[in-house]
Amino acid sequence: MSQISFQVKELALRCNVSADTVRYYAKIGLLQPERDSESGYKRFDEKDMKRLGFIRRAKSLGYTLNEIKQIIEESRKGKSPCPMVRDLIQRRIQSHRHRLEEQMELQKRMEEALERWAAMPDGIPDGDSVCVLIESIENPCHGHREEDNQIEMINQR
Amino acid sequence: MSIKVKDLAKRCGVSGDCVRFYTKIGLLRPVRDPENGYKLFSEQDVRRLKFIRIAKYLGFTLNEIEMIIESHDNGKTPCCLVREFLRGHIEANRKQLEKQMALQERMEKTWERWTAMPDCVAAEHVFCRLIEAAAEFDFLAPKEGDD
Repeated sequence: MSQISFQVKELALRCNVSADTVRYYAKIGLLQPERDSESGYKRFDEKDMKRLGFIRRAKSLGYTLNEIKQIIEESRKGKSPCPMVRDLIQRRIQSHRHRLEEQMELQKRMEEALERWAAMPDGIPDGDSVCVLIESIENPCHGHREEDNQIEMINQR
Repeated sequence: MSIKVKDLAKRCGVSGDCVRFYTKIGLLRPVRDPENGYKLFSEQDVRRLKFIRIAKYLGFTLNEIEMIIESHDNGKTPCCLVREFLRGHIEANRKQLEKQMALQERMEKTWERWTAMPDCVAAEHVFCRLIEAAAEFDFLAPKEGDD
């Protein structure tokens, strides 16, 4: 039994996270505080502190909260979570690299457009053209962005 | 000349769902065929859809595109707005990129370190020895913070 217990704010301070983060982790079951029988406040102990440290470390390595939950559950069942941990990071390294490349391409496109526009005057609205600046950019090749459309629509809904 | 969903989609290199979605949110405004109720688009919609695609390609959000079109429809040049939006995106995306590149590096280096480490046997007082060990990795700056 641990004797020391902390309230939300103390735990947050000790672990260098916001109180909202602590509350959120408790809400989704990643932290499981006890309730103070008198005040009803959440009471955390040293185990929670360790667990919070673990969560933060895992997060900084790109693991999602869902994955961290699985990792902790696996370990609490007495199984080694390591194969899963390795597998997850390996996959994320791939998918994240892909996303990063796309993001870099977009950055380049945007910077080039702004540079090109620097030499262009503002347009005068007419029926055919909405914005001469945007219309001065080469149309992205037809067809190849079909999947993006789908993803975009899902995201926007 | 009236253009159906499918034909508009084909001419602009997007899916029919995409055309329907843009119509639903008011970016495209077809008329209805009085006989069968089908959406009918004009050449102006073709130009507009092409415009939307280029703007999306440059990173503008659909909300921003709506504002740009609105400004144009009100007879005001949207160019100032367009430049301003783009500057904002460039700045935000650069910051994002820096963060994401740092994460990529952390993940790759960590993965590499782990190849030399064995799996946990059974759960003692650790959740995962690999992740716990990352606390000692020199390339992982002791950085904490917001979510």
